[in-house]
Amino acid sequence: MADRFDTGHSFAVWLIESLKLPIKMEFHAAESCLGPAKEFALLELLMRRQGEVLPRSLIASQIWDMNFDSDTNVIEVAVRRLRSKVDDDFEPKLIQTVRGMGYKLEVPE
Amino acid sequence: MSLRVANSLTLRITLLFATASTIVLLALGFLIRDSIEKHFEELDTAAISSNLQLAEQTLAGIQSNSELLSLANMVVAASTGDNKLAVVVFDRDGKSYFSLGGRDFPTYLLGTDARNGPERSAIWEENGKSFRGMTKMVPTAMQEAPTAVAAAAIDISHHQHFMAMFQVTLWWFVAIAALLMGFLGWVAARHGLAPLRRIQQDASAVSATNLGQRLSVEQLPAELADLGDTINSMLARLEVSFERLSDFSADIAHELRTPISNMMTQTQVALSKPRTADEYHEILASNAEELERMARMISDMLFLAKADHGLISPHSEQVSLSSEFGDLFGFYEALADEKSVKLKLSGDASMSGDKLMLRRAFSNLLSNAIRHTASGEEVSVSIKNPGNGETDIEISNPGEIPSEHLSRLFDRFYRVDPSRHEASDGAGLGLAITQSIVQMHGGAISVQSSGNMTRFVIRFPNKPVRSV
Repeated sequence: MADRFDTGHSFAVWLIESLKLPIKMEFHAAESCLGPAKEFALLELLMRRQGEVLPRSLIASQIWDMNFDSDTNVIEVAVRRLRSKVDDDFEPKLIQTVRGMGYKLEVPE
Repeated sequence: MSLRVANSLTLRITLLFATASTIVLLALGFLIRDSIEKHFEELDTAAISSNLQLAEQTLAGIQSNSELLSLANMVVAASTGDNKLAVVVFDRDGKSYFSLGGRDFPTYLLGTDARNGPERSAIWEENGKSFRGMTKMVPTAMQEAPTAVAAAAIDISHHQHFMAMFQVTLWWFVAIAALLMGFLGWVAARHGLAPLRRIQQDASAVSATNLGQRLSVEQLPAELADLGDTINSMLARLEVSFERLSDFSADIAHELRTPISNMMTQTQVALSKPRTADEYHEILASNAEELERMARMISDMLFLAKADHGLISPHSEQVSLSSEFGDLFGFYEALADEKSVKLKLSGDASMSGDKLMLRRAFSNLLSNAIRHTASGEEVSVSIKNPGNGETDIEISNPGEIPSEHLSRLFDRFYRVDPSRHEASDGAGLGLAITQSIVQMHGGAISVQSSGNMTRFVIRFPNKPVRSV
């Protein structure tokens, strides 16, 4: 398992490091590498509002336009899939589950 | 109460019956009286006519004054008992030339102008007796007095007396018969309306705890049997609705009790001794999860309650069904992928409706279908336009629901497997909400399950949305 801040060559790290920059262009380029558009949109949402706990219903509404209380399983699965790409092989973990509330993306100090 | 009496069916029927029979009886009474009177008149006229004929024959044979005496004999002979006869012979100047027995007759019959005709008739009183009289113009054979008027009368006192008696009897009879008919009408009405009272008795036995009670239709007359059937089917519908309602409230209580008692126990255990911050965090998080579930259930119930009361008015916008299902497939893609369930969409149609609500309805069905599909199988959605303006959406997945559940599948809180109370299964309100949304759009949803295939079919009619 690699430390993302040391290696520097990972796509995800590159992404995280450019968080505070205008990132639109890179996202478009990254989309093809990272997988389905919605997964990428989820990452974008978490990144845009990093440090903020995002409830599942908010994620469903922002990413999939499901503006009602829907199957929360779907969000869990989507987050798990995103994690497998962004977090599984790296430390520290960025996407955190806040029990009873939702998910947040936080870059540890 | 007085209003109810005034509006009573029995009273109305009784009055109607009494009025009708009184009219008939009166008409009959008048008819009988008139025909008897006419009969008496004919008898009188016949008697009078025979005397007048006698007078005519006698007068026709008189040629001189001396023969006038034979007239007197005839008049005396004819004026016996009830009969009177009088003759007045007029001279050429129209003056009374000879008169016999005319004293008892009114001048109207035998006055000087009677000579000019026409023949007259009259009824008069004399010494407490009644007479009917008639006249006849008769020619004589005398040169100086060529015309004569003969008048005959008959005592009709006994006829009139009889008529008076008869009329009293008749009108008494009519009055009593009318009263009797009224009474009989009342009895008939009461008897005829007895089944209504029986219905009322049966109906009064029905109460919220006793909705199974039915009216006994077999004993009802044909006119009321339909009403009874209608009331019975109304009761049946009420019973089903009521049963569902009480099931519903029992279910609500049950659904809320479990999470609340879980939370309570958990919290009480946590409070029993000092805990670390992590432990408190854990408990609060778990409570938050339970509360979220309950909040979702309550908002679902609220949606259903509003829909039931027609408080939700769906928007009307053009919705492309294939793009809706495309979006939904995108949403469920990850979940289906994980279960290795394929999603297949075929056909397209566009309808007008509330996009958000329709999406919610379809989402429930899709999520159910994915959940109940075995790994490697396929959930397929097919959108069809049968051509008559309808739109059919069929969502099918392999797997069979036992037939005893099918009819209650759309009931609130109904679960095919009662032991499954997991959050992933929802509170059992999903299909109820779907049905409610479909119905709001004027559509109907049905489910068939056979041959290891379960199909939910939604059919929207031509003009789906209630105008808002």
